Amino acid sequence: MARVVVIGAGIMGLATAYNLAKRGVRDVLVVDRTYLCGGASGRNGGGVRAQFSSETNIRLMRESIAICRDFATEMKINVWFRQGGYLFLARSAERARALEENVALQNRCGLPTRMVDAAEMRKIVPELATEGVRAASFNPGDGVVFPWPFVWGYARAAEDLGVTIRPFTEVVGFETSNGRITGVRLRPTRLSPLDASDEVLPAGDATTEACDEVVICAGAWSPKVAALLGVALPNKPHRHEICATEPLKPWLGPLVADLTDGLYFSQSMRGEIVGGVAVDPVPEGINQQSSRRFLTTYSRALVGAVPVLAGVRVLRQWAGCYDLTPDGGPIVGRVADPTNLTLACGFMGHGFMMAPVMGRLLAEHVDTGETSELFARWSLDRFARGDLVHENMIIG
Amino acid sequence: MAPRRILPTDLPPGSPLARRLAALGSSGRVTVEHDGAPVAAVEGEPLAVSLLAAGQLTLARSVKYHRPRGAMCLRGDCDGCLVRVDGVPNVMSCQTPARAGMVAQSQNAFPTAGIDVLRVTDWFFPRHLDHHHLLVKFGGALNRTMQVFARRMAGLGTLPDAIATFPRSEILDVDALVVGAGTSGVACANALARGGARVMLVDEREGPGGMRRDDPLDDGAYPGCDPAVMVRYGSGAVATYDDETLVIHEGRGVTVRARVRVFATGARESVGVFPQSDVPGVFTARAFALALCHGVLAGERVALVGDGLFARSIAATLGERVTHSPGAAVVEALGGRAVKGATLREGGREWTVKCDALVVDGELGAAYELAGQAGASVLWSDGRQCFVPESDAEGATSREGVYVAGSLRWGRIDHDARARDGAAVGARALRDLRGEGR
Amino acid sequence: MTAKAMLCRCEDVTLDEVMEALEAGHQDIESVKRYTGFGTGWCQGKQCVVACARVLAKATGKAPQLPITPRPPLHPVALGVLASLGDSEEG
Ligand SMILES: Cc1cc2nc3c(=O)[nH]c(=O)nc-3n(C[C@H](O)[C@H](O)[C@H](O)COP(=O)(O)OP(=O)(O)OC[C@H]3O[C@@H](n4cnc5c(N)ncnc54)[C@H](O)[C@@H]3O)c2cc1C
Ligand code: FES
Repeated sequence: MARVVVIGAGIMGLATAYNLAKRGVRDVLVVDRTYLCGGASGRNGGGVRAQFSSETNIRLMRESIAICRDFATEMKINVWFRQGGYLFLARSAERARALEENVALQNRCGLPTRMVDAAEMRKIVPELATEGVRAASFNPGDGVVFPWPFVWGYARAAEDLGVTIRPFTEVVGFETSNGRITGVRLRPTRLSPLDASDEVLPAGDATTEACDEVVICAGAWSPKVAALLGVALPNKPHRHEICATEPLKPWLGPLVADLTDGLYFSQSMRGEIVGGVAVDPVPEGINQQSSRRFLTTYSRALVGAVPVLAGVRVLRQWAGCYDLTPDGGPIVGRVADPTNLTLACGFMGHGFMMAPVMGRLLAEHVDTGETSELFARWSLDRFARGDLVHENMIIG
Repeated sequence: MAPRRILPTDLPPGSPLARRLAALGSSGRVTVEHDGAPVAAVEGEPLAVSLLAAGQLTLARSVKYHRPRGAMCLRGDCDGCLVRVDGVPNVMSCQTPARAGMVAQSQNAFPTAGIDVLRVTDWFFPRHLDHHHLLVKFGGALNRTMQVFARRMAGLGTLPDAIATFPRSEILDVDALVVGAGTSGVACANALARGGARVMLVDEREGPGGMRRDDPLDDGAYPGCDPAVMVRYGSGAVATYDDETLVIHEGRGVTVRARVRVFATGARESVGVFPQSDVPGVFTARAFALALCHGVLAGERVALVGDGLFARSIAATLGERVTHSPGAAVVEALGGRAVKGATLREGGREWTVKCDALVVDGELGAAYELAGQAGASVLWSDGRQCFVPESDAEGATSREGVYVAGSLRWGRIDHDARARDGAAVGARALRDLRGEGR
Repeated sequence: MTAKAMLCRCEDVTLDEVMEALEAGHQDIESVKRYTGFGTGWCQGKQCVVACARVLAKATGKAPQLPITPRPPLHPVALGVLASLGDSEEG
């Protein structure tokens, strides 16, 4: 029996569990079908930024960035948060105008973001080919983290407060009664040897864990999990590939992102250039296989942006899934039926950076049952109501 | 200056290696540069071997502790031989043929790999540096300062000097691709070609023979390829996907689309894990043997451990010059900047040998990665104590159209068995192509 | 002199660190890889995966069933080469 079962030990589930425990709700069980860091939280680029186009996201991300700054000393693990800024490039007049509008909004929210011209872009990244780039925006407070220790930091701190984390445990069903979830069906798993995409196979019989509350933080798997309860989510998993180069001595300050082709790249603490690009089309459904086409698309875009990288080598490529929603906003909060189910998914390609602040808000929501204006706006029924949200600063 | 070049006359007359070295002659002498000093090399030999012959044991420094690093495997499987070559960072000098005028520089070291004062990190953290918890207990300011410093220390090379250009790529459609031109790979490609299939055979080495190329006792008479096989040497298969294999041939990318793929990528040597196993002068037996086949003796005083094929060949070739302990295990290597000796153990007895090259024929693995990327299931083998692609009697893996052959699936088996296996797997792959079976 | 036993030389990961990762609860090979960084350096595990698996087998009494996922490429490949490759229809 657990008071709360959190499904998914990604950054969202663990941040929620940690914050629940911090509030005194310690009887929390977090389950994950694979190892910690097996989902998108262990596969992402670690980008953390406040440059968004909606006031909601900007304000939330300011808080997240503050948490990131103190994370190492607070949670006693280094996450290598480095504030080298985000440099967003615009190649069309339309994009440039949108960037300008966003910068104005970000300034109103207190961010020091500014538009920069080609000369200043080259000051920030001397190797950048600025030809064809019309404008760029730069916020020096944005940055990158190393995602894995962030996940372990939450996990360890949550465990210290009494939370139980069970990796290699998959939710395969629910028991319900009178419109409420009374238990989750859990089945042990193991990694599958049958392909190179980190899938899992059953490794035993399912058992039932009784519970009061369920939170689905299953990222791109959320629609599948919610479907077990008859809850239909409009989210779609979308494979997103990424790769790292050989480690180089530090030369690149910011994360550079181009919204036109979805290219982004930054330099990790270890010196690797880590980045990705939008690839279209991608295979349907959950798919974590690497492709050669991604490497080619990415390399062309990256060498185009920074020609001297042509001679730099790719060390490793991997893939994860974005969790896409029709309007680019997340799906968060309690649903009408069952009444003790909370959702936290649909975070597109920026759920990692959102998790530090979202974990806090979600814990409060689950614990108190109170709904804030934010959660009302991000609720599942907005799609039925046709009351969609807007965000145009989405990479990839 | 321990390592040196040897002459055929240094070897017992009639030894296969003496004949091989005599055939090499003294052709192709060139000069390369290493950290500003001229180094005599033989054109086309691995640059790491040229540097070794010149006594340059330490070529690089390790990522975190700046421990000295030297060539260890000579097969592109370690970090030991990374240098900056002609303005390009992180070049594996063991995979780079020496050419006249090449300029090699050590990197990640101050002032050079041979000296490097940054080694202090190694002494400062005698057990290890716990980067996850480094300075997290102190205030944020100190932690942030540490991070700024850590970033400055990170990375190996610096950006390339110039914008590199590469030749146009190719796309090739074939019936079958065989990766690895060792005994089993050649036998397999021949079986496929003789059955009428369009076969491409690739190998990163400069010719066929696989492990035989590095065996000083081998006569060098490798079986030839059927003329119908499209052979590309100096071509490494570097990545496999569902439907494609990426091959790099002299800087040119080749995308190969094959209906069936056979991986005959062989075994993988290692020295095992023991204290100081990373010190320059510790070599896998295969690496030492490979250098020997280029006429380079990688040490004057050689301690040889293990009883594998390469250890036996080295012992047979060098006789008295090596101290061979076939049944021993290495307890630890001695020496700070370069190996000076080793503590060995055999059946309860422990003793120390002095040496300037510690050569270990250690635990064997399997080069399973490409088959695994192609989707074949790779599992732990209790018998071989390593990961091996699962395969049936005829080399078929769990993934349709993906086969494995030779030492990759059997471990080190003898030459005839490798040839038979290659031919059998080739016959099976042929049936697959013809739509029979599977 | 520091007699470190390097399990993964590319990332300077010692045998000690692997044991500490196990103690910290990172028991499966994928988690050990992420916590210690073994197998994420220049050779991408070609040299050290088997060594690590043997250590895990000894320490936990059971060898890991699978290696860490072998990620392409096998050897590092220049971005310029990758950029030159033709388009393929397949994903
Ligand atoms: C390549 C890539 C790059 C990205 N770059 C960035 C970036 O730079 N910045 C950023 O902020 N975001 C980025 N993202 C997005 C970010 O990674 C995700 O939004 C975020 O990690 C989501 O966290 P999560 O905890 O919700 O989901 P996940 O981390 O995916 O966790 C969900 C977990 O649920 C588990 N699960 C699923 N089904 C079940 C079940 N039935 N039972 C039990 N467990 C289950 C899964 O195993 C998984 O571990 C990127 C994503 C990808 C793929
Ligand atoms: S990679 Fe060149 S010596 Fe190991």
